[in-house]
Amino acid sequence: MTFKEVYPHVHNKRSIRQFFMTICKWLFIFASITCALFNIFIGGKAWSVVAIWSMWLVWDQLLNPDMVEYNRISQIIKLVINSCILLILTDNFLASGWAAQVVPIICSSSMGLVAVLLFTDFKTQQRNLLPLILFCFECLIAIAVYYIWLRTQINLAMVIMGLCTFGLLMACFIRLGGEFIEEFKKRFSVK
Amino acid sequence: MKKKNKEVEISPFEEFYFSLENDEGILVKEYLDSLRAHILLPKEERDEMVHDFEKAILFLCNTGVPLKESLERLAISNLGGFYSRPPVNWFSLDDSAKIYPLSMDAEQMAIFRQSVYLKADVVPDILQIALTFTIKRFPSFATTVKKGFFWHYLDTSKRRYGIESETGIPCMQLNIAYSSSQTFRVIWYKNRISVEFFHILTDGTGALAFLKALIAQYLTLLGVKSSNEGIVDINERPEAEEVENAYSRASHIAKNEIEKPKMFSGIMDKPATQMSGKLSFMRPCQVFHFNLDAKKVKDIAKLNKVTVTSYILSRLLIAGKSATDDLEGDISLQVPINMRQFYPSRTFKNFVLYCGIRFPIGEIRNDAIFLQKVSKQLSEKSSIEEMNRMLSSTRGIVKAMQYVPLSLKSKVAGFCYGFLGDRIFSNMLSNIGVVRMPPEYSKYIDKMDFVLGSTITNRASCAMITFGNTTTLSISKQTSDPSFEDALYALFCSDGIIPSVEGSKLNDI
Repeated sequence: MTFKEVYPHVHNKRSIRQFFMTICKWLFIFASITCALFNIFIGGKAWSVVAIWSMWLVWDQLLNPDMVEYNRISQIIKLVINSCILLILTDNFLASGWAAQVVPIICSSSMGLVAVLLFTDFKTQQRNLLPLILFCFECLIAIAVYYIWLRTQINLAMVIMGLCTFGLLMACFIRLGGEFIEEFKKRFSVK
Repeated sequence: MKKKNKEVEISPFEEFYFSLENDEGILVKEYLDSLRAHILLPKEERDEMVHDFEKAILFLCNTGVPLKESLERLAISNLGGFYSRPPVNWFSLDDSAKIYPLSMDAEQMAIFRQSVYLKADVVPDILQIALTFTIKRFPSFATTVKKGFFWHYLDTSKRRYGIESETGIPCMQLNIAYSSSQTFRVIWYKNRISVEFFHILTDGTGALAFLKALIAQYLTLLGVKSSNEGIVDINERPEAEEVENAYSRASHIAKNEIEKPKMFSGIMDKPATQMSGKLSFMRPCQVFHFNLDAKKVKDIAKLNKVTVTSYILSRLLIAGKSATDDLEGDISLQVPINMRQFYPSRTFKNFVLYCGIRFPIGEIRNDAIFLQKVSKQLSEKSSIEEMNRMLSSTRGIVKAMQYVPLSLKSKVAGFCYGFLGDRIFSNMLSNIGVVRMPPEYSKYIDKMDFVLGSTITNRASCAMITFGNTTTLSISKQTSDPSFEDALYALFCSDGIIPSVEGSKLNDI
């Protein structure tokens, strides 16, 4: 069967990238399994959990970016959440006692950074609010869990994180007004 | 000291503008001022759009169209208020579209393409304006995909929607990650104008309505006059019915007609036999268009007392059998069914379900009895009763999942789609049917084609469209093994239909 070519010549850049990604994916899976097995074999602290999460962080942040809503707010929040989980895991499995102070400080400062990014380009960024809203709720849930469920003493870093969360949500509400409700309707629609 | 004179570069449009007589110059200036006043987009985008119009004016005037007539053809009223109002609308996804963003990944995205081959080369400057005018009539296409807490949705995106010259493989992935990324593309190459859609936006029927409106607008800008019968009027106001989730309305009607709706009815089945070639990295790695004589195809189908779809399906099943080394198992073809035939709707969103035409390999033979069997199975499986069952099942799944957070759904749905959705079929045939354009436009159109994008495990997917006396059967390949298309070609030749074949070079690493 002969045929007439009616399409332009295509460069293989895209498939080379896909090929590279597939190799990376299998390398990451191999490294994770090796870490876990090695840790189980030699015993001691569960350092492999921290190592595996670190690899996941690199994979999720750099090699496998979001296919929908890849914007500066969503990426910063994703990085912060992944990093906080890494810190909590490190605290739990390697050296304990500091995460309750450090994690809220990181969350509060990242909220400040996100607020700057949001309000300096509000017209564009107002449509990227979901990750920010969810992050605020996650922070509030974390505070609730920390105080109600774990019944731990109040620490200043947590209070500041709570205030930052409320402050940021209020600032969004004041700036957007009725549009804030509309944004909620869109984002939480079950239709 | 020698003083350097900075040479000021004059653009071709400026050169044209300065060459105009005084009153013509005023006309152009007033037109451009008014244009700027109607485009309230960020400065860079507004300037780019104004530049698009300048190029179109220049093209029309250079081809001998008087300035006044050029400006009338490019009338600013065609912009409506689309570019001067802030984006407020958003659209929830229809039942069928909900799966696409959940199941996509870096290698697989549900994209399809429809193309029109003109009798002359495309004028990109005019095509750009045609798109600028047409997009406002299809508000659910002028959107970007966003994540909600429970489902993805489409958020209106007011921007310049640009055309692209063709450089990649057909149905290449769309980058929908950024704020206001578009979920479709308009591409041109030589005499071909193509639109590629992410399935989240529309199905073949909606895409065809858009393509016809775009082509009509393009030809109108070039001076072709027509009644525009059967074509969406781009200056009409969009209606709510055009963006409705038609599955919802249809399922209410269907509910009373189904005795016992079953979950996963028509959706789950045992895995089908796949063609034997190795899956390619680049998908699709090759595209073929079999241009068939529509009258001959119809005559053969009529002679055997079957429909054209049944006839083509039988050829695909036989060619599929030749392309696999498996001696046992079933070959199954997915056939999308346009639900508008059962529940009339004007929606531009998805409103299709599908049925599976399945035969054990041993039963597939090149004879009249087999053709009758295919026809019988197709009419049974695409009946309203079967489709109602599937409709109710689809609706049930969507309802069952509606309160599950998106982050959880995407993990489960992605796995299920990859594991079930694709493996139960060997191939696909989507037949959009006969497309008609007003005779004034048809004179300028050679043919059309319809191409499906990549799949996960299927080695080929086929789509068919008929325009004039040409039926174009397009095959998107996911393997470099040529057995399937070779067998299909031989089958058509043995039936006395010699296809003229066009296509792309094999692209793989």
